Amino acid sequence: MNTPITPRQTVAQTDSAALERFGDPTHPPLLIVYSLVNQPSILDFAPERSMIARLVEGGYCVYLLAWHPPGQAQRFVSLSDYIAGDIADAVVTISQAHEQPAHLLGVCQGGVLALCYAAMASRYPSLDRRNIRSVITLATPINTAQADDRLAGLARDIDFEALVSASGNISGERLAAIFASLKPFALGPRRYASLASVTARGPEAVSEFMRMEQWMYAGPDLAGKAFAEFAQEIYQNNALANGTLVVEGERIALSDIQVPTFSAYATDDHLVPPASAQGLSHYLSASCTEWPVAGGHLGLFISRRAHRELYPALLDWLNQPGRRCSAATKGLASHSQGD
Amino acid sequence: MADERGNAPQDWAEWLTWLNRNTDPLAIQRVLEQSAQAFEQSATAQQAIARIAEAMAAEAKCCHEQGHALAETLQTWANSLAGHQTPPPPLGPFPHQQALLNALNQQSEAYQQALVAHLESVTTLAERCTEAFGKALQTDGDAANGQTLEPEELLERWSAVAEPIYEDWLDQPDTQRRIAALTNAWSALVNSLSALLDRYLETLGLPSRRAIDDLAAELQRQRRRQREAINALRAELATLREQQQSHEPS
Repeated sequence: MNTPITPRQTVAQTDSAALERFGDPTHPPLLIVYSLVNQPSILDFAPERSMIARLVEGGYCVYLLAWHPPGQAQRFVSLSDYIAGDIADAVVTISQAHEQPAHLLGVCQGGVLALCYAAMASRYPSLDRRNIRSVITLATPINTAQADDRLAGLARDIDFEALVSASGNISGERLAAIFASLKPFALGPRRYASLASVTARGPEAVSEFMRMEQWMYAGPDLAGKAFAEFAQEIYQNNALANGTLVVEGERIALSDIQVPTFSAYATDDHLVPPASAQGLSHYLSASCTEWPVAGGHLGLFISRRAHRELYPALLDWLNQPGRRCSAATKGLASHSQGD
Repeated sequence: MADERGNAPQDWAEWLTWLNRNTDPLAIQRVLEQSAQAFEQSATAQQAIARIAEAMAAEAKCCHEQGHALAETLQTWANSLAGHQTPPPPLGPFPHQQALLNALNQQSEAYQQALVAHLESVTTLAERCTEAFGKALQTDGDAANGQTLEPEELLERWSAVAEPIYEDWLDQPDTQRRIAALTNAWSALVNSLSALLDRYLETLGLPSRRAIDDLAAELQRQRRRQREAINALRAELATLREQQQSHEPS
């Protein structure tokens, strides 16, 4: 099993997730919305390669929506349920507890969910836009109509309605095998051939290797309906970029987002190619900082370069005036809690 | 016992053939035999119809060569059958069951065809990779000079050669269409099989997939209704707070 590195406490439950808290609860809150694919343990992978630890050390009280793997009874859980249900509940819980708005950080697919929430929050009185202070996306697919987006190419002609009707939920193990099949040589013979040199580096290196192995191939199942919606809308219809995505009966327009946004992507990402992840600022009316990082998809979370360059830059960005809680914003936020 | 020219059969086998031909002047028996063979060799109703049409056309040609008047009628039937591509509608009791079984048959065939097409493509890919690897080794200095390469080095060279070929193959629209066709064929087959099994399970009074889906969908509907109610309350509270703020002295 992947053992957590940073101490955590489960503080609440939503319909489909546990809300876990890391760090000092008196610090400003930051909510991580992880992807529905794979386990969030990659964000707290090792002491010197833990994104969560960097954010906690940077002075934030980090919350993580740790999705529960869906059972067969959850096969009809939709994107709307995750966004307008779980994320909304978590944001309200956090902003009430801290009496200030939270930063929202979406990882990969979770970035799409976070952007949708932020766009909806500006229009839905029930979501209350004053509950979030900023949005951060990491390796998030924005515009998938790119020639090098292999996942979009593979998804193009698949009948996802029929697929989830046949399979119910989507098996996490099968999905992992599909992801591995995108880079079978790097993740197969090359990776395992390196095991000898890993062993020579000692037991901790082997332990990390095996943790990564487990992370890669023991991902949770995905709720069938949400999976089909995401594949159809994001990969077949490019609906986030085209402004045609409908969540909770409302069209999502990224230009509705009214808080500052930070978007980081990896320049050699084979799952979310840079061409698909960059250019978020093009769709927003609020300010947006884009931050490319050399390396692959996972490198964005665990590479030394990311921990040396990206996370200090992100913390600088979060700490800019207006993004830390001030007395004025704290007062405003305190009025927005209490339901 | 003589043929049309008055020649008598020479042995028993010839005699039986002669008898068969002459006791089936309308070619009914031969058409039936060929139709039965065609049907046995067919995986789907469409294939059987096509093969029976071919058998009739062959018999029509035979009759035509013999100057038989039946040739024209047989050819008309063959043409009529050959143009009949849609599966026949189910007749009699249990039409839904019949339609499911028919669909299962066709989908099984479609899945096998999609699988064969994909595997052939994978085989071609493997051959391309192997060929390129062989060429790379021939042009490689160490290997061409007869020096033995370490397994790790060989593996690295194989990966370096095969990976770009594989990625190029994966990026081809034809490959992506074949993978999608295979996935879609699998989905269609499983959906039909599941529907058929559901009927059997329900006949035995056991919970079916359909019943579990109904429960899960209902559960989700109730959750959404609850969320809508909560969100309506939150919206009302937000409006009240704004009103309260606007009345507070600054």
